[in-house]
Amino acid sequence: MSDFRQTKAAFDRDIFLSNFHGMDDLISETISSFFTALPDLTSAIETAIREKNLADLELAAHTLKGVVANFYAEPSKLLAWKLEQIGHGQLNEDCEIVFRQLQVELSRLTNELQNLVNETKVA
Amino acid sequence: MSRKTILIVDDSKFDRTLLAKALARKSEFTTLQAKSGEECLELLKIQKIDLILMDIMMPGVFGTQVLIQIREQFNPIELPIIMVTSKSETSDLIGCLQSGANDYITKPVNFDVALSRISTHLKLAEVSYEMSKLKEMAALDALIVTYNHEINSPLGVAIGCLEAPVFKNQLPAEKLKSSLWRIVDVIKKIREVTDKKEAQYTDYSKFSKMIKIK
Repeated sequence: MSDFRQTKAAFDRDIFLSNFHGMDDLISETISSFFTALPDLTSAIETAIREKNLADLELAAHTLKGVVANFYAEPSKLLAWKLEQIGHGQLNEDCEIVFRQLQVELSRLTNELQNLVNETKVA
Repeated sequence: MSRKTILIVDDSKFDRTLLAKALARKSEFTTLQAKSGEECLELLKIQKIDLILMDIMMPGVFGTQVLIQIREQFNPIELPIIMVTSKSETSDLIGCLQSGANDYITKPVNFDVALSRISTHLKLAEVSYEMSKLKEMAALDALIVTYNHEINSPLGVAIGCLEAPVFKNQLPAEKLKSSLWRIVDVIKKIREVTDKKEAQYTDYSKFSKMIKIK
């Protein structure tokens, strides 16, 4: 995981922006909604891990995967997918380690999205 | 096209709200949202929906199961359903298409693709509806022509019998003959209405109408 963290952007800015073509106002609105929703989305995963509830882990990770996919955030999406697979019993990895990696990626994603919002404001 | 109503069914509030907002900005559709299959089924009981965008993986009742339940009531022409799926759910997708889903789009949703698919399926549904109405009219036409013939033949025989000398100048026979000629006239008018391919209606009672044939 460390390889792509150093080389790959947290999200694909070009594809994300092209999907919102002609709806500039919706970009910052969507990012703002993401910032609002993120704590609940990650805490649902955290709770599922703490309670060792695999079904909840699968569902919570699936939901987060869908949300970050809207930003074409491949690194976060991949880690959420891994947690989903662990929850589904199809991947044998330590979910706590994967979750910590996910948190790092999500932090990187929020920073990059915040930069985009700031640039849009300046422009 | 009149303003159509699209129902977005997704347990992820973020995803369904984003899709609803994007569709609102890019189209004239009215959007409604349901956070579960159960909510979707309840909404269908009280609201006219023109198309559904349905997430496959939802807690509780899966999108696939909701689809099957909807298809018990609405066929794919009456209510098109587009499944929304992540790329990893392709096996579920085949099941959905076999169970009556009209189409699918993948997550993350490309808004232009979604809009294009929605428009295509709404147009298809509209054309299919018009076609079925035309077929219905053609069947009714054939029915009227057939019965017109079937009624006319015995009527001709009955009127012929009443022309016999034995009935000459007898009031009941004259009345009967006049009634039969009236039936002949009505049948002729029904045929004329069928030939015109459009009918004029008049009120028959508070809740029903009749074709104007006079």
